[in-house]
Amino acid sequence: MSNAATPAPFVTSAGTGAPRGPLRVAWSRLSANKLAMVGAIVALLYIVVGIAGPWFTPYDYAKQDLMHANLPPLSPGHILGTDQVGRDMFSRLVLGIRISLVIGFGVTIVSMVIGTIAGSVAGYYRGAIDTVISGIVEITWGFPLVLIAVILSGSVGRGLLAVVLAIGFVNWAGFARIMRGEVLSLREAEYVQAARATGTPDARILVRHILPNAIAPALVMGSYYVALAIIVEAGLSFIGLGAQAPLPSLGVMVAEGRNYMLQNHWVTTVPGVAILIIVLALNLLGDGLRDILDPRLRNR
Amino acid sequence: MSEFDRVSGLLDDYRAKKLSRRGLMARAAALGIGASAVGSLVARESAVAARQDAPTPGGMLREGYDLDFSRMDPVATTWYDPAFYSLFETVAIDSPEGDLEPMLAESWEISEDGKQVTFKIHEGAKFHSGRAVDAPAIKEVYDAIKNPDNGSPLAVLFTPVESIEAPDATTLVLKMSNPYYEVMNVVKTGYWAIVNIATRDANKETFGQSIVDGTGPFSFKEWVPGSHVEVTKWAEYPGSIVPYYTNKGPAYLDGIKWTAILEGAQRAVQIENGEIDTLRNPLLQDVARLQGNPDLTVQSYSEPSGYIFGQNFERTDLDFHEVKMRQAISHAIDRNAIVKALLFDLGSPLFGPITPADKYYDKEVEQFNQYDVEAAKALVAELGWTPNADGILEKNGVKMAFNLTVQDESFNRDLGSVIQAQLKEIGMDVTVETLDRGSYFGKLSEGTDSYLFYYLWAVPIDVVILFVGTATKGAPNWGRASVPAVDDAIKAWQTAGNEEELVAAGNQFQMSIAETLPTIPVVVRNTVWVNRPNVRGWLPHAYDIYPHYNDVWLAQ
Repeated sequence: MSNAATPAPFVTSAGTGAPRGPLRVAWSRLSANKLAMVGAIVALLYIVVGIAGPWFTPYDYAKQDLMHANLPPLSPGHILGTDQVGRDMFSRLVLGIRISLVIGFGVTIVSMVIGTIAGSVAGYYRGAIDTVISGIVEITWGFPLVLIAVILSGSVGRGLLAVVLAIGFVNWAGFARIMRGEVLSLREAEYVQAARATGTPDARILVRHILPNAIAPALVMGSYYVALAIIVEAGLSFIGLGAQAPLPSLGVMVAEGRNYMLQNHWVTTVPGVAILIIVLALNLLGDGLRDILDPRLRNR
Repeated sequence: MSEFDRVSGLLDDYRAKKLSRRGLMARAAALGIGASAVGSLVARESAVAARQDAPTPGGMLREGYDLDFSRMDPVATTWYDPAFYSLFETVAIDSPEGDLEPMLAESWEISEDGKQVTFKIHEGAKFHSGRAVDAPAIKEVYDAIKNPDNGSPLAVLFTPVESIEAPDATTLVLKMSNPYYEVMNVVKTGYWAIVNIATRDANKETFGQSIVDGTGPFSFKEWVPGSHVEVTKWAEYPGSIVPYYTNKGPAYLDGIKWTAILEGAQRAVQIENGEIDTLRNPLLQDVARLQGNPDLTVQSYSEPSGYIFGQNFERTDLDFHEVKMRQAISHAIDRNAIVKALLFDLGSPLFGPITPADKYYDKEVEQFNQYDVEAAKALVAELGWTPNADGILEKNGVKMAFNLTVQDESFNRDLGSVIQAQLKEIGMDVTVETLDRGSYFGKLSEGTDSYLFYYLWAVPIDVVILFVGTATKGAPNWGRASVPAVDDAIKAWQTAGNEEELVAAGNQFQMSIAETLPTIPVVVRNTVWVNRPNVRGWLPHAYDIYPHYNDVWLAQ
């Protein structure tokens, strides 16, 4: 009975009248959005490069060749040139993409899980629990990210761990906030009340009936947060709090090249453009997902 | 026609205004004369021309500086900056030719046994507050340096000085426990600059920050940490007796403002845009561009400084106390490649402790510390270190993995990264730890595995002694190094009674360092000074770490 009470937002009829699954519907809508498709393809390409690329790079990312420093792109053996200490830019870029993606997706997934649980509990139970969780969310939301990163660097040391913890510490609150709002409205829905009246446990109601209908905005938000996490990681690495030498995150590469901008601009522009492209792609994908998942925009 | 004749001919044309600055640079380049050398010649020409032109009083000189500023208290500061040379004077000064000349002392006499120096103090000098600068006032300064309560960082250089006496207003006598000819090279430096100790004692907390009482031609206006230092002309300056100054009276300039430009790339941009008139140390990668700018004069010469790489002798598990380990590390460092790639050939490799440009340099040190990876591998193998499956050296279950502490600055970071990569070639796993200035010195004092350090001192041997001698173990001998041969050489240097003995002791010191490596010398960079054409009489030179401002004026 509880299953029957749950709306199925993606189940619809095609022109033939044959029933279509939600994934097929989503794919159909996504593929109709050209910009979102471009975003998805580029993001997929980055993921492939991030996963497989380091196995195919021509050089060790840390291998220096001081006698061949600052070679421009398209130099023999170095398609993207070399940096100020003669490291191959292509090999470093590929690993930098992997690091940025791992941080972007990793932090966002963990933040989403924590934020979703916290927001759902706050929205479902309301009262004192809501007050406490919402209070924590508000306090967390008010912390400057850089300050947290500095504090964490002091305690766990500079490096990617501090960056992951700093971004995760703040980002979960965004998910909690949005999930709380969704759950607050859905908890009064008839099918939820019916499930409650039949004695279905709260955890089951939350997981089986409310979450599937409340998660869409969080997923959309997630795509933006991946992009945000990549930018924040780049920013924190730029000021020296992120990846430590010789590990090349994209932000570290931009930082390392900034003093050579007027002589060897590629040391900075290559990773800078890489950040620009992935962030743009993820935002386009996020816009497409929002169009698909938000019923108010679906028929525009 | 010799190269000298050709250069002279070009300079004659330039002086006669038959040749523009751009034309001079182009013709010099065609003759194969480096832009840097021509820049120095043009700067010298400008200074000479400035002396011939009638100086125009007034104006504010704006100078860009590559570091943040330290407290302007010669007795207790840990670093001194160009403002020192406008606010303070010393008893003697180095001329552009490298000769010691009078400043606050008219003359001095060193006893035959080298154990006593008698200064005749020039009458008429006074402090900004109005107090006369006499022998007792200078004695107060030197006594303050010797007083451990004041924490003078280089007070150890005054250890042989047993007593400081001022029998009358113009006679100051330093009596040493042993011959110490080097004392004259000590008292000419900024830490021995003369301040009014009475003012300093009355303003213990604020002296050097908001109150300064020196004898220089400018008086203190303000210091905003992280931003700037500003001084204004001291109209009552009684005058200078320095022979090489053209201007013996009050300064021409109304004031000077030094701005800390810590973002390296900004320094060149600011002088190109005319936001500053003079600049110390643009990024070395920007120097070629600045040299090509006909509106700018660029001077570049080896500075009395060096980058040293120290290991903690107390890490006996890593064999840092073993000379073979330090020699292995040294052989793994490709100094020539560092000079080419990171210093853009504006520097030199260091095979011994001091720059090849120093008058005490001993070329014999170059037989040591040459790049030789195979020799490095053989040395670590002799100590029982063998590579594990990951290629990292291991011995008795201990991995050759350690931290390299560097101060957060772009060149330091790059140099740390290069050393990290080069040591990896022989199986050493180095983690570069980049710290801000305060944390960096804290970490060095508390003890770190290894560190990179940049020193700058007019007489390099005097300061390198502090990093390697057993007497200063802990700080500033941060590596806790203790090498008897080095201590012997230090003793010889600090007891030399005349120039010959000093040269011999200097050679002994350099060879002992090059061979036993209490710290590993890496490279020395050039100092680079840039100025716009409106700046006249400004003459940085290789014998002093900053320029003086008495002769400087701004053309309209």
